Amino acid sequence: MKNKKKMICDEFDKEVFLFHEGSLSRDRMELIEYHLGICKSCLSIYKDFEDLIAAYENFPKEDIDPNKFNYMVRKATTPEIRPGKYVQKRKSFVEVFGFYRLGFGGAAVVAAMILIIISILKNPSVENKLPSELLDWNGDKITSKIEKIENQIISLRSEEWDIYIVRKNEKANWDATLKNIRSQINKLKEATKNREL
Amino acid sequence: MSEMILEARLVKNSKNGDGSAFGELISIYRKNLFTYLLRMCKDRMTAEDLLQETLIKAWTGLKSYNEQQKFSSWLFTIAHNVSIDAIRMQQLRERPINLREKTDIASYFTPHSEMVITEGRIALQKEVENLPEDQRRVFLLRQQGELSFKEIAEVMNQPLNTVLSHMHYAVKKLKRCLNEE
Repeated sequence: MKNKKKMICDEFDKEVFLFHEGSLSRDRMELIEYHLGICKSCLSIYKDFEDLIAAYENFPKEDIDPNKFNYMVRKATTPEIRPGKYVQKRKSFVEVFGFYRLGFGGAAVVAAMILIIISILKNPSVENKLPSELLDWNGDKITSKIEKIENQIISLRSEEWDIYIVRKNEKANWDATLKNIRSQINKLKEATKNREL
Repeated sequence: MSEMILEARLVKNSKNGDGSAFGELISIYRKNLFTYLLRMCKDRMTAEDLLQETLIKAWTGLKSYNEQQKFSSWLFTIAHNVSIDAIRMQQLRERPINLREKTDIASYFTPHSEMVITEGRIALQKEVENLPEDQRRVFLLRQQGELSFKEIAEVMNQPLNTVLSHMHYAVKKLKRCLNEE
């Protein structure tokens, strides 16, 4: 019994508040109620606590001028008169897609078009880069022109032609010419890759 | 019971955007709320600013209020957070809100105070304001906010035992003051 009493005294310090607000279980409430009946020390703590609460509760509560309070309520419930940081102003269509945005957008489009035109003028087409002798063909694609040149080379490399070149001692010169033509063809292939004229 | 029904009706109307219902609803807690804020920040002007901020946050956040929760708990949670922010801001600026400042009696008691003031009560009041922040908060939420200890634990995001300890120490200090009267 003495141990039980000691246990309740130790726990009473905190449970007194829960006992006072009545939030303990029914058993616990009954136990503490019984304990207060037999323990003068805990009863004194409880009385002091009740006195303190009573003294504080009798203390005047602070209040604010009702007119001021009403204004505060209006300020809280009326977005227009709220302090700036609380105003969640909904943006109108003109603000979101305003003329200034359209103006900037339009200017950007015009600038982009000008840049495209300049780049076109500054970069002549592949056609203009071709050697003049290759432009003699009309109406064909560059790729077919290349094929024609390649066919010509193949025919030029025929045995008869080789013999003729050797006889004329001009093979070395012709090889250089051939190399030059191949290099031009390669450049053309690169320049006209995936493009058609 | 009728008070609860009235409160529930006011909450419903406020949620539907009725500003006057909101004013009526807050009026129920006006004194407790203002006293809590004043005791926390110890400055009338600051308390008024905090009350305004609490009202704005309550109004704008009313849609998220769950009726299962006690309205006073919800309202005092907002006030609690608002006062915490204000105190932190003041601490950051290294200009505490009249902390430990000698209490100017005239600034406390306005024509709205309800009772004749005795020196002992002022001393008790001073003692409440001089309590460490957590103890003061628990004591005021219990006495002004009329929140249960379980609700205070939720509002302060602290275990119930810690809250009870704060209350225990607060009461111990205040009793000493009461006994000196």
